[in-house]
Amino acid sequence: MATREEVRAAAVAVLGGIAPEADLTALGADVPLRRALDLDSVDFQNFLIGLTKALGVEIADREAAALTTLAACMDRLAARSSPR
Amino acid sequence: MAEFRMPTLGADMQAGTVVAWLKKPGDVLRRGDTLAEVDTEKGVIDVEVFTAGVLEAIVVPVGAKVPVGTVMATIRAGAEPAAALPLPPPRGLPETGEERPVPPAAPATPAPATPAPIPPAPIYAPGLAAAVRLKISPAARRRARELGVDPAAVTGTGRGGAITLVDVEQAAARAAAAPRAAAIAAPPSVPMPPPADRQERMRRTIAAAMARSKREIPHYYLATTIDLGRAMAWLADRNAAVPVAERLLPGVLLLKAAALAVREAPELNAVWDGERVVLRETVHAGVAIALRGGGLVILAVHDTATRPLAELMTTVCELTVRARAGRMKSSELADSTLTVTSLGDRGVEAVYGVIYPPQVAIVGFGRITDRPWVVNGGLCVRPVVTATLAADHRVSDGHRGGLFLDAVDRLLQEPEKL
Repeated sequence: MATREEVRAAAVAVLGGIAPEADLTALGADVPLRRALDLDSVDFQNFLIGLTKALGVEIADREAAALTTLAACMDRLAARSSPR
Repeated sequence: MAEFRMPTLGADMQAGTVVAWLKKPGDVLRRGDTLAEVDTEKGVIDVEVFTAGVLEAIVVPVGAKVPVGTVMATIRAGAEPAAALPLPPPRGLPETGEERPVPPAAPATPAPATPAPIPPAPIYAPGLAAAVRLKISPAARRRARELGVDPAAVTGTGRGGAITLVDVEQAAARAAAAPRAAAIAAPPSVPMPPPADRQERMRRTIAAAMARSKREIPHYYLATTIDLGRAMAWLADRNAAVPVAERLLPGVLLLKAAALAVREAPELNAVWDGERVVLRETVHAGVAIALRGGGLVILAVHDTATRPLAELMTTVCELTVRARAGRMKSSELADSTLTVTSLGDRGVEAVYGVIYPPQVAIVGFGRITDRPWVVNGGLCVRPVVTATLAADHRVSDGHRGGLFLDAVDRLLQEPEKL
């Protein structure tokens, strides 16, 4: 079970692998990730795969589209104890 | 005895620098083994070997920058005994659509003007063979005079080793680039160029390839709008039932549909060798991957038409990560037979591509977007995509291109069969 801060750290770590040139320390919680980091759909898919591995959670397809910001990731994935 | 040459990793590559040898003389080589790491403007490339055998000798040392086509090492194939070096095999593309291993554009001699760090032994000089009886078209001969190129120093890639117009122009370009190449040829102790320099070099090579494309290839352009209602519904159903790692993106359906549609217009899956078209039997779709900080690479998704969607998806995800990290394999850079670009992913509605020579077509997909659509005389809302084709008019006509796009449309109406 991950805390909000753990979700944030995991998300930033995964994004760091996808967009190594970006300064993620300055990334605000409410900034739209795809636009801010210029992620295409393959990048975003890799982001989702990385998140599920790092946090040990599963992300439903209809929920994935809602993970647009770090805040959204924290809201939806923190405190989730088991897959699905 | 086989020669391992500096491969041409796309039309825009002139030379590469050996960063490391991963095998040593005496080592056994299997097909697909990475033999060397080569630095190019696209990153450090794992160069694979397509001859099984034993590494006999390394000819080009680490740190040396050599032109495409330079013999880098020699390989004793299979059970062949160690022997005196024979003359090089005849150059040129095969008569019919052989797939591999063909570093397609047989390179020109490292011209005398190019002070390659390791001067090739005379026995390798293709100019010797050419001098015996020069096969060159009148147009190529005229162009050679204009450009001040000695035809005898040019390796022909046309039919029967004939020197083509393109061979002459490439030789001229190489000669012009030689002083610069010599200037940046790195001795072993010099560190790798910084990323900024690589970006600048990549921009230059893209400029060269695209300028050549627009100068030489008479493009024609077609576009059609495709109803993706069924495809998107099928995808949503499928994706709802599987974990993240097994989900498919719509782009993979588009990629496979394009590869399968080649059946209807095989001449789009081919290369132009300067004089004629050489069909490729297998479709290795090249996906255009934009690099962060600028530039792009086109990487081959091997056997696109025959592999299952899930596998293609995994490959595309992996290629994207490795392309952005600058870790690619030579076969991925060299093998693509038809480019597919999905700029729609970045928001544009349609993309009219510039053909990546020596290919003869590029397929583009725009953004998938909901639009009013007429079905059976009634109005409804459907997700649609604009599919485009830019193709080489020397090789195909609008009619054939139209059949191709029509096939893409039909294939996408039955997504479960992709």
